Amino acid sequence: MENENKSPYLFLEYEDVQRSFADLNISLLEGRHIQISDSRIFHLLESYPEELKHYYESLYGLELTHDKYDNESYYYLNFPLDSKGKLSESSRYKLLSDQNTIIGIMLLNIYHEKFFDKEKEVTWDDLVKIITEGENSNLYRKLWFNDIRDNYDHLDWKKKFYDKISNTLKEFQKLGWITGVFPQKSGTEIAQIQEGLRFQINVSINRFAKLYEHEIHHFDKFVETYHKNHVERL
Amino acid sequence: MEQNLNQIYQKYTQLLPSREEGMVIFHLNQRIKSEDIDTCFSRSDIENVVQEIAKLGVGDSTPNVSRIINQLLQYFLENPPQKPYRYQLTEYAKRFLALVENKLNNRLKDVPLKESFEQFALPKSGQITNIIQLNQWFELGFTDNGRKLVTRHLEAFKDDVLSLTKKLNGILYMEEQNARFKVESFAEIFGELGDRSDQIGETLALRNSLDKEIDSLVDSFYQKIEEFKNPTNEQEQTQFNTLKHDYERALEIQKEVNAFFDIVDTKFEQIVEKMQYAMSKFEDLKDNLRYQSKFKINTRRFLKFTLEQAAYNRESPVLNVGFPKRYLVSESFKFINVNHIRFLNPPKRQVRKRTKNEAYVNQARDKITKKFGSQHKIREWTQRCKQILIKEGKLDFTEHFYRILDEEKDVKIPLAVSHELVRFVSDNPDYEIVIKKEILTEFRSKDVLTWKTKINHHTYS
Repeated sequence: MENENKSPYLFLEYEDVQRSFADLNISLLEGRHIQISDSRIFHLLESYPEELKHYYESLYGLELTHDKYDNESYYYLNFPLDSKGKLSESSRYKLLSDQNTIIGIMLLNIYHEKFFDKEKEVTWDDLVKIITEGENSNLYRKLWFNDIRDNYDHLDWKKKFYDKISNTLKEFQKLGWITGVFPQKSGTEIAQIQEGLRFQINVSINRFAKLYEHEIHHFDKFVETYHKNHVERL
Repeated sequence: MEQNLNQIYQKYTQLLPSREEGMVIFHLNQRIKSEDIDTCFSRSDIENVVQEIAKLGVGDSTPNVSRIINQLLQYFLENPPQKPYRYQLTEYAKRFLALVENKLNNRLKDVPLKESFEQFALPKSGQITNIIQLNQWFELGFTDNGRKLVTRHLEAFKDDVLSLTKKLNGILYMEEQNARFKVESFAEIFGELGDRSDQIGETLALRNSLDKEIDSLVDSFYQKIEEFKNPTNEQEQTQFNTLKHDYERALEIQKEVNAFFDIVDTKFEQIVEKMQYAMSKFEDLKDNLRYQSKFKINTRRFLKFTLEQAAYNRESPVLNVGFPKRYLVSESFKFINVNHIRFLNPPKRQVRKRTKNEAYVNQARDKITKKFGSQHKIREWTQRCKQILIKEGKLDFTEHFYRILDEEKDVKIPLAVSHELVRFVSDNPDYEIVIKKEILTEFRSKDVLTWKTKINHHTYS
């Protein structure tokens, strides 16, 4: 009987919740994916999963999602199917830009290609190698430099590649998908970027696999439908 | 030292060739070896090599031969005596080539490590009685042989782990191969890694004998000082000073040997961690190898498709209008998140081919299955302890230590679990380990004794 009257928000009065809830709430609403390296707020999510799930569902109309990959958990807020919950105002959600989508799918692949590596680390040299020697080299060269050449000079790498991707990398760091060091765009020599750029891809990059779950799992069918629709649009 | 650094800084670009210049040296050396050109070669030989290197896409497509030759003439090329229009590789260039060759094909890694170390690096009991002999052992036995052997084996082990990890990653993407082939390939690779790891581990265990031997040597030098009566004249004072100097030198040697093994232990542990991680990933894969492999292959195909649908744009790349787009929650706050940053070294990569040996593969597979068994238990117990910690905020590890020992009958498992938990706590500042130097009465009769150890979340401390 006593339990029936218990408020589902009672947990907000607990000392550990009061200490960390503000940070957790802001991070989740900003779109951050919380994983073990976010120690304190991750601990809160692990301690009160049901209470917090109910909290976001009833007050924000959002789903607090718990995903797992490689035996590592990560949490994030997700929209329910066909709705944006209480965040329907356009300033409260964002469409992933084309560049962010491309880089996200690229990083998802790098993460999986390093399945057996303890550290999913990426350096400037790794990125250059992927673009100039990887299996999609020509597609990357065309995408970033607009032409396919054997060599690109330092200015090309700086202006056409790094200056563009650095914003995405910083955004991804805020979202919890990567953790690292990103040299400033302005006033930075290419040598500083070559030596300084270094980041770790986090387990939550698998959110991209969730975002494009249907397309990846039913790839052949997806491509078939995509091309069919493309012809119809023409 | 500062002057030395300045000197290196000034001459750095001449001492170490650029990729283009280095490739010219390697190519010239290959041509000399295959007797295509003479050891004293001509300028046109160099020009030909430079052009061939340019075709490989290294450096400029129209290289400046004179600049390259001038640069290499500083340390890598020289004119042979009496032949002013010919060139030859300098001794420095040959040493540089040998260094790279050794890194790529470390020949020492096939030498049995433990036996060689025992033979060359361990001081034989009773053979060293004075400081000259101790110095000789340190310079010739330990520094020239033992230290080099262990370091090179360790380097080779690191290279093996990196290149084999790359190979493991590649197997997952083999579209044409069936699951059984993949599992066998994985087992073969883990077998190779396990053997090398065992060999180095056994050698590092020899440290105990080495420590004991050096301890007793240091003690014997100290004993000589103790036994020497108080010096009463100049001659006795000189003798006393010599004994003191011998003892100090013995201490120095002991310190250097310990420092070397401490570094080696840490490095070895880091490499083994990488290897164990790969093994645990394989264990995760065992039940859903087919699914994971298909998922990874499709993810790769999806990336290619995405790139095909994307086009260059001055501002940022654009995707075809029909490409599916996704939304994220994004409420903005004026709040700055301070993120956890980790600095790590980039992995080195190296590929090495190996021939297949069926008997060896089977033996390796048995070995690996055994290793997986205990690895699995360690992971399972560690997970259980972590769950208790997260749920209850505290853990009596002493109790769990003996519980694990009782159930698993293998002391390595509770020890490995305690190691994992210490790492977990050191990565998570919210937890702390409290060790009290007391042995609980109920555990006093056990074969293995441990201090009373608790792990607490800071809210419980």
